[in-house]
Parts: sequence; C-alpha cells; structure tokens
Amino acid sequence: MAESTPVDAGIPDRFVNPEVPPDSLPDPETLDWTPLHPRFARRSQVGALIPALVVGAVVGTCQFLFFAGGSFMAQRAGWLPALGWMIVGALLFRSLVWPLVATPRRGYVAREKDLLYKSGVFWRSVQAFPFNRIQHTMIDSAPLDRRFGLANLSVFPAGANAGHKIRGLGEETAERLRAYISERIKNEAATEPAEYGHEPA
Amino acid sequence: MAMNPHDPEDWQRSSPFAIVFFVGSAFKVFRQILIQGGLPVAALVIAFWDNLGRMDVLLLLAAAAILMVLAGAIIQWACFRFRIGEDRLLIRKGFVKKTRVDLPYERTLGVNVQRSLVDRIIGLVTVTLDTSGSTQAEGRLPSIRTEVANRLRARVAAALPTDAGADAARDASDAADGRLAAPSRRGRVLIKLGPADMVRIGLGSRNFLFVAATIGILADLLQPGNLADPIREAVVAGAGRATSAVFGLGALARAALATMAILAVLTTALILTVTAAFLRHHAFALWHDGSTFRSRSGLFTQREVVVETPKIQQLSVSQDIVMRWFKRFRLCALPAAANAAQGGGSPGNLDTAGALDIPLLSDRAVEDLHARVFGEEAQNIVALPHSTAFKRVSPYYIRTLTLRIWFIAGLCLGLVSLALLPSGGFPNTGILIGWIASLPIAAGVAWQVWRRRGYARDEDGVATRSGFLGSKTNAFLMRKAQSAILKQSPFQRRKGLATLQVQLACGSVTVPYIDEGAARRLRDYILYKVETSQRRWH
Repeated sequence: MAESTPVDAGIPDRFVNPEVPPDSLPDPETLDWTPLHPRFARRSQVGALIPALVVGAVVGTCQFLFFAGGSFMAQRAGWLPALGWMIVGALLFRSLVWPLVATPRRGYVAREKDLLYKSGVFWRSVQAFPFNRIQHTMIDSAPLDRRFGLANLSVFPAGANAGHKIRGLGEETAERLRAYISERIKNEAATEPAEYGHEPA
Repeated sequence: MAMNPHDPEDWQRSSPFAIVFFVGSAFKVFRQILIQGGLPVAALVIAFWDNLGRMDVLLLLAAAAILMVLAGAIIQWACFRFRIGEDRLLIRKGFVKKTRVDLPYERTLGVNVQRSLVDRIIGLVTVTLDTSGSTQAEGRLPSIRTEVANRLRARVAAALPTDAGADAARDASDAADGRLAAPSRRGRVLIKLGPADMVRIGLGSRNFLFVAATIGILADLLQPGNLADPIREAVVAGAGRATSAVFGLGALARAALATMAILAVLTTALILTVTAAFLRHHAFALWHDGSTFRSRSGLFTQREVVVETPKIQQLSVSQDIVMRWFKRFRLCALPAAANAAQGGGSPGNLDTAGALDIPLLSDRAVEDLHARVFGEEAQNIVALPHSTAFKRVSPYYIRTLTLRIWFIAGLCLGLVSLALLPSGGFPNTGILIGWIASLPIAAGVAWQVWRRRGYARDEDGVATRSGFLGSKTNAFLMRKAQSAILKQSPFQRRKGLATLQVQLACGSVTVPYIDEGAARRLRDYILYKVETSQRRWH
C-alpha cells in the first residue's frame, strides 16, 4: 500500500505520502473494547453517595432548625423541606443507579499507534489520542480510588491544558498502560525528523 | 543599564523601566488572587459601604495593596537576570520561587519585539522568544537595550536553519549601529496598510457597537436623577436656553434632534474605533521570508510578531458585514497555544505565544497567504468563506439549535419572571406568551446559523465555516491534529448523524451534524495522517 511519492526540492527524502483507500481503514467501533475495572462502579457509587449524604444532612439540619413546629418558615414555605428531600432522594438514586449504567459503557483500547477511549450513556463519545501527539502522561489516585485499588490515567496532547483522564483503571493496569504509552511516545519521538528547513506549515 | 555592558556574555539586567512591566505582571497575579478571594473582598466593601467614617480603613488597605504590587515589581526586577550565550538564552528570575529558564536558540520558532512609546524614546525594546517544545513564549526580556535585542536576534537567526548566515550578518551589523534590525530588508513585503485601511478597520471593528452602546449609556447617565447629576448640572448649566428651545419645538423637530443625537453617538464611536485602529495597526506591514512571517504595526507602541510557518496550526479567515461591504477579510494564523500543565508551572507566570493577526486583506491576499502557509499540502482546501466548495451540515442541526436557543431564551425569561414575582405573580402570562412567540425567531436564527455552517476537505486538510451575520473559516492540516473526538447525542444516533471535534494545539475545530459514516471516515483518515506523517507538527 505504501509507496514513496517523488519529492520536490525542499521536502526531505524520507517523507512519504502513501494513499490509503478509505474502506481499508480500521473501524474503532468494531474493536474489542477493554472495560474499566469491575470495582469502579462501586467506587463511583460511594463517591456519589458522599455528597448526597452531605446534602441530606444539610436538609435535615435546616428542617430541624428552621421548620420545626409552627415556626415562621414552616408557615411561609412549608413545602421547602419536601423539595429538599426530593432532591436528596434524586441524588441518592443517581449515586446508586447511574454508575451501574454508565460504567459498562466506558472502555478503552490501546493500539499500536493510538489510544481510544469511549464514554457516555445518552451523549456518547469516542476519543482518539495518537501516541505521537501525546506530550506526557500522569497517574493519579484519590484516597477513595486507593481504597478500591484503582487509579486514573491522564494523557496530555498539546493544547489540552487539563489533559484527558481515563478513570477507573486498576492500579497495575494504569501503570502498565502508562509505561506502554511512554514507550510508544519514545519510539515516535525517535522517528520524528529533527529539522524541517523550508517545509510548509 | 546593563550590569556589565562591556561583556555581552555576562549576566545582564533589564533597564529600570522594566519595573513598569513587572508592575503589570504583579498586578495580574494580584488580580488573580483578588478574583479567587473575591467573596471576602466583596464582604469587606459591603461592610464599609454605609459607614463612611471607616472608609479610611478601606483606603488604607487599597494603598497597602498598591504598595505591595509596587514592592513585588521592584523585587522581581531586581531578581531578573539574563545571559545571551552562544547557543542559548539563560534567564534567572524569582525571589521566593526561583526559576531558571534555559532556552536553546535552535528551539526558538519566533522572536517577537514590542516597543512602547517610552521604550522608543529611550531606545529600549521588549523581546519575546517563542519556543516549539512548550508551545509558549517562555523567554520574555522586558525593556532591554536595542543593541542587546539585535544581538539576541542575530544569535537566534544564526541558530535557525533558514538563511541563518545572511540574517546573522545583518543583525550583527545593526547591533553595531545600535538600531533595531529593520525587517524591511528581510524578505518580501506581502501586505501594507495605509490610513484608508485604518478607517475600514475602525468601521469593521466589533468594538464599534460596544463603544456606541457605552457612549449611549454614558449619555443616559446625564439624564436627571442619575449618578452623574453633578456632571449633568455642569453640562446643562451652559445650555439651559437651548434645552428650553428644544422642548418648545414640534414633534418633527424633536425627531430630527433625536436622529442627530444618535448620529452624534455613532460618529463619536466611529472616531474612537478608528483612533484605536490607528493606534494598534498604524503602518501595518507583513513580510515573508523563507519560512518566516513577520508583521510590524503600532502608532505609539510598536509590535513586531514573528511566526515560523511550521508552528502555525490553523488559519482563521473572518468577514463581518462591514468587511463584506468593503470586500475585505481578516486573517489570523494561530500558532500552538499555551499549555500550562506542560511546563508544570503556573499559567500566570507564562506568556502565551502570539498569533499573527492581519486585520485587513483582499481575497487574493488570503489565497496567497493560504498557499504560502500550507505550501503544496491542502491545495484544494478553500480559504474564503463565500466559497461554494463547502458542504452543508445536516438540516437536523436547525432543529437542535432552535431548541437550544429557545431553551436559553426561556431560561432568561424565567429569571425575569422570577424577578417580577412580587408584582406580577408567577408565571407571568405576558412573559409566557413572549417565550412561545420567540420560537419562530429562534428558528430563524438557527436557520441562518445553519446556512453558514459547512465543511470541506481534501487529502491533507480540513476547512470549516461558521457564523451568523458574518462568516468565519478555520482551515488546518490533518497531520497537525492532536486528538479527535466523535460525539453523538440520542437524537443524532436516531438520525445517523455525528459531530466530529478535532483538537489542535491552538484550540479545537468542530464539524457538527454530518453523516455518521462520513464523520467516522474523516476521523479515521485524520488519525491515519497524524500517525503516518513524517513531518513535524510544530
């Protein structure tokens, strides 16, 4: 498939620009996606449960302090505690159910040239990060992640200040993936031309 | 001004005038702290607002803040040293957090020079070095002598692969003469703008309406019962008779007077924006030499931007209604943008690499620049917004956009309704009817946006078009993409559509609502180009 094209003056000899039939391109949607760590759904549940419980505590305290008996607030806005508890209920439901729905729909594939990551239940996305554009990688883990033996891997292409995070990997998997990406970055950097001379943008 | 002017290789210090620059930097940091701690400051102001007897405390705090900024700037200046070595620029800065920057000249992709009016009078310049590795202008030397700047430029030019010898010799000669190296002797002049162009830029400025609105508001403040009553009284005092004469006129005369007032506001706004255009773009010139684009402009503060072609990630061409009337465009060549995480430092301490901004050019000049930037790549990619080569996105985009606009309008009207709750009750019927009636307007806006939306591609590049009344195109080479994201909402999945977002080092470009298969093929082809390209992306 690959065949070197003739080079004009100013274009390095090693530059090749092979044609590729669009039909022969691999389709990421048919790939064998690696799911996230099985404990990630439980970790997400716990992670979402904490703020829900905090909100519940705030609502309960407010109800006890301001809406007890025939207080001024109870007379003027007696429906507020009910609204608060409805919000707490929705948060609890979300924290318990949503991770079970969302986690199986996330996954990643490390290929020879790039890393793919899919996510989303209703609004779905597939992100692709070529290794030769990744500047560096980072692994981080919050106390809750460590409690479940998980870690998050971030990749940083140029221009992406916050990086792109793949959450919910096993600690060992994250480290192996990071090492693989670093190796690929090193290999890509070794084959990158050192000079560009008069070449166009 | 230098610590040791006899030995150019030694560590040097900027001119004391650089303190002004450091005051600016310190003020930015201080402003950031204020924004982050805005709540306590706001609480402080509110606490003292009604207690004028204690306002002196607030004034003392403000004076202390100004002194802190000034002291910080002086300390920063005192700690700032640089050394122009044979092959690298070394910078030492910082008092508490000491930083040492090592910039090899071979990594430099642009040398930007800026001269304020004060700098020009006393023969100083501010030089900024753009580098490829971190995509940031890490090296900024504020208020250094012209011969030092020329020596630095000569060293950088000698280290670059393009026409190094000739440039180095010329800059060395300039350094000896003590003048700022004249770019007119380097490369071909592509664009020069004159006074008539400044008027066009002023007319086409987006700030025109903003300035007009500001003048209108200021004029409104002069009405009775407003904050500016003392000013109003001073102004009105001399024109009392004229006022009474106006109210003695008939309806037609009053309408004529109102029209004249509006015209006066617009004329004032025009004068202001044209003046701003003169200040910013006076004597604008663009040179091209090998792989280097160089622009210089400015009436008092002269800015010189140098961008190496390989660093350009994206070309943006825009045309608003006024520019369309003049048959002119604005072009912006975007280099790789700042990436705070990469350097590991605080973004506030780093300067973003500058974009090459050409405020006014013809369609032929756009195509010429397009060809010069992209070379033999992406030859079939269109640069001009009115090109017929752009494919339209799916008409379903209108529906989604209509609902989005309508929802936002509903949210805004809902907030207004809540504000009127004590008087008008909830829901306010008038507002509800207004919201329902706004649906056709939202649909009209969405239809207009859809008309402008489009994309085009060839073997090497992609171009997108967007806009509402005006148009804007973004063109880039596929091999410069950093990542690609394919997105689908439930509605898009039902209709077999997808949105493709391509992340570049200077931002992202989105192609919404195209056929799912086409989006996937385009995404895969972009990945193929990125992963097989043997050329540098920066």
